Amino acid sequence: MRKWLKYFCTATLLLVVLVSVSGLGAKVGGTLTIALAKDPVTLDPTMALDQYSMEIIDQVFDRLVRFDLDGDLVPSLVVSWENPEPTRWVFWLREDVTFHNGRTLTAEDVVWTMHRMMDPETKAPRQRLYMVKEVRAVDEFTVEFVLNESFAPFLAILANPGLSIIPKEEIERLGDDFARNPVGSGPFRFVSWIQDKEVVLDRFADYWVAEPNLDKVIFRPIPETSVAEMSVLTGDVDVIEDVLPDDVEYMKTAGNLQVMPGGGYYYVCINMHPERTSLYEKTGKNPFLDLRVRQALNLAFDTDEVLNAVYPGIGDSIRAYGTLPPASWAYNEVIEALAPGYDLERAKQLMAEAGYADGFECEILAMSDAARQAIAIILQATLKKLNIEATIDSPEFGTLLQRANDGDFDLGVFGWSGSPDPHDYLYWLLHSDNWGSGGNNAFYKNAPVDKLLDYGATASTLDERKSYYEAAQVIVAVELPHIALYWKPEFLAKTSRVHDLQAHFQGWFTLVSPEVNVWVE
Amino acid sequence: MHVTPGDPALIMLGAGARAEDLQALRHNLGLDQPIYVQYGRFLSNILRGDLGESIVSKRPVLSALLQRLPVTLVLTISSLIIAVLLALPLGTLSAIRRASILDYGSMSFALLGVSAPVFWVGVIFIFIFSFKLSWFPGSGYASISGDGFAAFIRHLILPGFALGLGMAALLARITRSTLLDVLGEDYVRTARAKGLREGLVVMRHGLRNALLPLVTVLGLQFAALMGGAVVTETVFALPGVGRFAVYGMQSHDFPVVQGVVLVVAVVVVAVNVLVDISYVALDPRVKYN
Repeated sequence: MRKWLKYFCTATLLLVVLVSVSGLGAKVGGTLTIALAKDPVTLDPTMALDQYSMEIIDQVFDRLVRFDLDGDLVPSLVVSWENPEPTRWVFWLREDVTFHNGRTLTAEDVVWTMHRMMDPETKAPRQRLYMVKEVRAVDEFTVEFVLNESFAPFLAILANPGLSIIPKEEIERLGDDFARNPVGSGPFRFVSWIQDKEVVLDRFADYWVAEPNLDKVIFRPIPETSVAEMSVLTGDVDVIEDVLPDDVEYMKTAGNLQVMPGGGYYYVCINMHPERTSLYEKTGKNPFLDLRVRQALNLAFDTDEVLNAVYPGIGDSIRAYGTLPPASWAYNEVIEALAPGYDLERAKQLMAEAGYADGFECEILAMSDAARQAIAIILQATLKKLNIEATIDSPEFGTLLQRANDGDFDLGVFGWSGSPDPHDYLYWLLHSDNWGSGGNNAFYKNAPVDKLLDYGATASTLDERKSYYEAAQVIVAVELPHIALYWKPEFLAKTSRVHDLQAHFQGWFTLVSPEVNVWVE
Repeated sequence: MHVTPGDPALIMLGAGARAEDLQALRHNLGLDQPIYVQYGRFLSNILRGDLGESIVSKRPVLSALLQRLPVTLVLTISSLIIAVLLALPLGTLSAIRRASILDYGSMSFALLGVSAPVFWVGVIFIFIFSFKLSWFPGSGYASISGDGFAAFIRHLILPGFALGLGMAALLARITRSTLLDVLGEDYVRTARAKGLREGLVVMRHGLRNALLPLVTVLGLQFAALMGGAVVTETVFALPGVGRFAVYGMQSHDFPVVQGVVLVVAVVVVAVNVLVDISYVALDPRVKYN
């Protein structure tokens, strides 16, 4: 009897393991409806820039490499790659990938897609391959890229959905209409798009990873977050990807909410431009150039308490200490120990030492979303404790971006996001080459940091890159061009009938990959 | 829009744009040309029935507008019908039962309706009738051809009421005050003296004569409804012209905004012409030679 019990238990255990590993419990069929905050702009990868277009492109197309759920670069359309020289990359493609039109994807398609991006006649709004000198097909399934100079984050560039591989004949057939009738090699085929109403995709049974479980995916734009929340709670849509800060606690229980720190870095930008701030216009000097004033601002702002007030229940989990996501391979934990912490008395003392005991007047430029508005108001109250009288201005996005890039502000509550490669954060936000529109809106300039970031972008090994980026982070943690706030929480609220769907740090979802194959009851 | 800060190329590329990309994009979009050249091109295109292309999506503005216009017209006309159906009985009852509880009640409703912003009313409606009671869908649009008549109506009721409520309130107040004036006229007294029933006096001699200013206001308010559609379409996720305008303004997409303004202006002028023509039917004294 005991023996039988042992066999029974072992068999049950094996069955459970098998079911969980193979996804045998998954049901095939059904429709998944995902709410987007906005309608996509275009479904042509080369021309796409906005997140919502990218989310759909990600389902219709494939690219050479991709970031997995942990933020690691993994092969997608390629079997492997090699970097034999600093400026030469060779990729070996899979031979079992077909486009939705039935043709096999080859090296010529990769070369054509890259040339299309690089050709000025295409008028691609963002030249993603500015570092590439030449792309050529070595044989039917091998591609070689030659770069102008060594560029270590090259793989992260290729992982962007904007460099998804396109079949040449479909562009030739459809012309500009390809943007409304895309054909790719991804898990879902494009069916229809009614602007501001819905984008419909259906299963591509020959998908090289696995046959998708879902029959159909519908993307529905719902601009109002509160309306989207109610839609997922009533089952009108299956998934939403944003939640109002005040509703996080409720949605956790009512909406199966998953929250994870995303790739969006939110921070108070301290404008150190020597001439452009309103402070300079009034007084002839910019107090934020004085390190003691920047230290005082950081010491007076109780970030932990503010985050727990703005994002109750999740504030601690999204806390930022620097400009690089904590999950990054280049993240330097030392910066957490260097963080100024909260000490109002010390802040007042530093202001007095810097000659600003009586404070000054300044302007806070803030994005108009609920979280950043709340932070701007708390920042305004904090500054008052240092005798700094601040006003808040929240113009519409276009105006705000223009003013941020022109340096026409004193303090800014801004955000930034990039791929997980450290170059995407540190270089753009802190290198003096990128003052203004490049991303360095603090107008921060430090020659050793510039050098370290240049080395980090060109070093040949990951260890070398890591050492440069770690050193740069320490300098920045001491110099404090920002008050680091938080990593934008990525939300995913769904109905209970949806399975295998996970929040992704980049803010969109993977529906079919070697790791997941989403299904609905 | 050209005067206000905000560069469409910058908005498209977002933070972290390379200077070379910005410059190339501005050139490709024609934004590096003087404003008078851009406007001249717009005017010459209009003469050929071409409203240009959206600088963001590259789609022809005219076809996008024509695709969206039916949604906005259906929404505004249905909210107009709802407003009239609510306002006429309320305003009439208030006038004939002046200073009664009914009068105070309906005028309080009118005050509330005029004061409540349409976006707030919309969210409250969704909360009550979609989220709590599950009577109607909270967002989205259904077309008669694709989704059937029942789905079309179900998707239209909440936004129609949300947009029509404010107008119903205004019309109820105007109906009441106009009707009170008319009911004090000599011909109404004569009608009563002839022994006509009060209902007949109010409906035939009172309300009909009160309709003229009401129809004038209706025509003028149609423009306000088109404006309200901007908010309503955003709250209820309807694919109409209003939402297109919001998108155009947010992205500083000049051709889209110019196209929306032009089309809305044409619709509003057309509606007011219809209102002027309707005077003939409503008032025998009015004649157009």
